[in-house]
Amino acid sequence: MKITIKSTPEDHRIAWLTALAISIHILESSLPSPVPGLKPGLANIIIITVLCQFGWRTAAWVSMLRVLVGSLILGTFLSPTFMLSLSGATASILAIGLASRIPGRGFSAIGYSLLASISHISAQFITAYLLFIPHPGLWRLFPVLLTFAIVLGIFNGIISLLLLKRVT
Amino acid sequence: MNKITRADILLLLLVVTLLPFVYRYYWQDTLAGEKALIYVRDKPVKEISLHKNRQISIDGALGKSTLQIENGKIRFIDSPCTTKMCIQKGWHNHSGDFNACLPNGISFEIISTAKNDKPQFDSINF
Repeated sequence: MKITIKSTPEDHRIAWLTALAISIHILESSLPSPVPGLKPGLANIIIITVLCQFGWRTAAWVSMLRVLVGSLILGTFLSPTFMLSLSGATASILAIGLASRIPGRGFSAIGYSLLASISHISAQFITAYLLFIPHPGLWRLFPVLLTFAIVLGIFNGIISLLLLKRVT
Repeated sequence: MNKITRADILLLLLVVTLLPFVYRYYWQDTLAGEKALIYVRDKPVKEISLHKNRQISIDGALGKSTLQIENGKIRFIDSPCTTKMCIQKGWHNHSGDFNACLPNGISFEIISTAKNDKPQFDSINF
């Protein structure tokens, strides 16, 4: 018996975009980091661009698949790194989901990216505190990483905005 | 969607104004401890308040170590060890802080009497 799965053009689009996000994620993981936990999150440029171009549903698919497949390739599946990655990605996709329902012109890529990076780092700290480092000292690091998250969120937003200008 | 909007500017201003408060909130000294628990050879021997300024001497494996307590802080000021690492570690005032003079077998841990500040693990890994 031959089983065929019918795939829609949207499935193909999600697959291509996820492949792109995963590639960036893997490339980025080989970059050295000056502070543990500090990463530019360049794969999120793809998520934000997809959100602006194809809507929230596609962005959520790409984001979740990126976390899952990225962790399988890097060998971090179900490890603390994966938990932190998953919680961050879930929080930011929910945050931009809410933000994209704002009536009127709403946010541009920069606003979404900033919002996503802030919710990403906040969720990661909550997860880290609840699961791995239940020490109040952990929160002393929060303002520092939040500052980086804001700067990198804006930076990624600008790249995403430039990217959108090229493709539209 | 590829132009900066008013909502972006608003969000950015909000974030930049709130950031200093985040620093102030998380970097304040809420973790100051109330008491220090002194151990000699891994056994807790004495619990002392950090609110009374004084010096105390504790007998260890090599001799007497002297601890100084001042304004909620505690430090080693003298110990018969050779490296004096315990002294160089300086003042301690946060709940959970720990300092030890290993050669002399004397250590202390700062504990807080706050209700929600239970002793906890520093880190957990799988």
